Amino acid sequence: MSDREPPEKTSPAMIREQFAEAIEAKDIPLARRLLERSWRDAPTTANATAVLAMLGKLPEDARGTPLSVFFLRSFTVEPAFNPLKASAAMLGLDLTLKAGEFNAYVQEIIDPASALYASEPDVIVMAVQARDLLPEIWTNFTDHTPERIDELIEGALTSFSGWIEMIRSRTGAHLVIHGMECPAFPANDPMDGQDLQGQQAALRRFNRELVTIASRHAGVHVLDYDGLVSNFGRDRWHDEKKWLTMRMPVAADALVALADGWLRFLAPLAGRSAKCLVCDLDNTMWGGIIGEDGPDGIALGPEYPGAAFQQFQRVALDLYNQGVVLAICSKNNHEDGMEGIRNHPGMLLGEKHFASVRINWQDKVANLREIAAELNIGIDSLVFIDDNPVEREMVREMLPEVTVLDIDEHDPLGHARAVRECPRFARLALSEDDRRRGQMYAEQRQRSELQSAVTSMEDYYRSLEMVATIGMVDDARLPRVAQLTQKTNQLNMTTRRYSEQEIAAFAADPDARVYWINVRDRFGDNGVVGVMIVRTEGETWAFDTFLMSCRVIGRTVETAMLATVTEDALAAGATRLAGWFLPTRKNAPAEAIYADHGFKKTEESDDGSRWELDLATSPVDAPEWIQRDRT
Amino acid sequence: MAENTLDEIRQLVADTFGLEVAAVSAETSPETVEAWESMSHLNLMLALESRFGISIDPSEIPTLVSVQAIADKVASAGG
Repeated sequence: MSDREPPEKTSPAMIREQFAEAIEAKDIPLARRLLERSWRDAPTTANATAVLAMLGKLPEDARGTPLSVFFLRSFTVEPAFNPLKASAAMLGLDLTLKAGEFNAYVQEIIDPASALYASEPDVIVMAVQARDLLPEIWTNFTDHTPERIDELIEGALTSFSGWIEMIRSRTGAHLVIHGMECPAFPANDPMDGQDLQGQQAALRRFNRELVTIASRHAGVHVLDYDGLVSNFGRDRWHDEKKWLTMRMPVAADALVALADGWLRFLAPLAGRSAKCLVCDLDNTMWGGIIGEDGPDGIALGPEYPGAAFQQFQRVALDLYNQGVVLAICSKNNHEDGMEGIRNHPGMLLGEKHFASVRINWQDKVANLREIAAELNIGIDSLVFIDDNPVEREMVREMLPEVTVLDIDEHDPLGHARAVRECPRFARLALSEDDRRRGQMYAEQRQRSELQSAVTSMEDYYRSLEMVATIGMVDDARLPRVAQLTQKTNQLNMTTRRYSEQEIAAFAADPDARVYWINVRDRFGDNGVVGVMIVRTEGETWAFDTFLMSCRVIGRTVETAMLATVTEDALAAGATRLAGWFLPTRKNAPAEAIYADHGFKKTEESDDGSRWELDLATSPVDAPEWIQRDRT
Repeated sequence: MAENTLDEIRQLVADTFGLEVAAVSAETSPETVEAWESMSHLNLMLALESRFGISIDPSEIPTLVSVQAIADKVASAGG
């Protein structure tokens, strides 16, 4: 609890006035908070224009990470752009949006000089509808035999396949394709619902095949448009009159839902995925206040309101199973909080699911900082959920990088929904490492305990019984290698972010090598934790990328990596290794790696420093306590 | 029409076309505002529908091309 009063509900006009004053006073963080509050209060098509007008007044460097998106489309998508930009701004994304010519997407895909390729987008969205693409199925279904319907589906899939391949061959941009919607009233309703050769079945078959085609390509995704529409309500989604007059099929009120559907792809593609959910306890994890009501007095079980909190815990457990780390930040006596977590029969989560626990009377800002430090992740990787508006406001003010979820203690059924809807938890793929991450953090705690039990570092390294498997990137490891380049901030010499497509291009280049390293020890498998991309032209092998996950920091894994490249370079007749260290706000821990391994600085510029190692005089030796297996 | 409804319409018009609200009067129209073109006009219409909970018939859209005309429409639609 805090003695500060919650912020007053402010009218749009007052927010606007305060915003103007903040801009006048050059208080940009305050201005940002105000515009974010405006959108949280009213995420509507009408308010999107106001929020965008405010965004336009921020200095360019305060607008967020730029991301450009090109829409290939068969309908008028532009009215959804304002809500999309406003929602994206809340995640720190500054979107540039372009739309292709109306219904000209085939020409734009085929013509290498089209606006699609010329604008070099980061993401391409293919917003097409069944009524345009498959009119014989959407509109004239009853005219055709089942055989003819199959031919039509095959034909459309062949076209899609060709378009995807053409786009893939010309740009590394991510591609998000709208799946097909099912009609509200199938032609032969209600028979259609029971007919495997019916209209809905045909469109679902098309969608399933489209997903299969997409899965064969890196960076191609399918948006479940039918699901998006039905979640919102099919009747309210459509505006048939505007479709027939302006080719604008989506009603004004549904535009925000459409924008949020897109954002669930754009957020992870832009690297805005969160790594950790930090949960409050009282009235967030369970109903009531455990320090006052006691463990028997809190609401947590199969009946409402306890069921609402179990739903919330189930969603947190889903995230845990996807590799999101869970933490607790609660103002309570430590023993009271732990009593609830350990012993309450209604808990779906247990102590083992939490990688970091802060139950104390410190302020939450300090606790959140400590949680990020303990987990070795950036403060901007945290999402914080708390029913207390005062705590939320303080975190927003002091730690603007943290995503804060609004929930209402009087409406606990909203808790699970708030987490589920947060685009920072949207995942496009799940790696083996993601599935095991929670368990790996538990193993890490055991390793820390061992470290304090042994006397010398070398003894410690030996006691870990490390086995490193090292190989060249292949299809199976492409996603994880790309993910590491996108997510590793600290032990990363150059912080170059690569998509799967770009990694595949390196792998195909005869003058480049992409190494991955997997480290396992007596406590478990850490998974793929390191990536090296080396340009191997001539006598000098140069690191484009050298990175390692913090998971294995301080265990000489980097030495094993450099020793491996040393061996390969010597075998190929090279005489030198070289690499740049490009400093960022986060990669200070990587700074000493080259110097520590005998590299000499050869160049210094505004961007960073270049280092070289003479392989004849000072090769890197492999640490004897890491067994290395090459595949 | 309530004074604040007209003010809200002026604000919406100002935000849509990137103007200061003080520069928007009942006479403001595509003639006086360069950014008022077909796509931003559609955005404005959708924003009006969303803000006032009204439905604007597509046939009316081309006629709502001044702040006064929009205010009359919102008033008659009961927004």
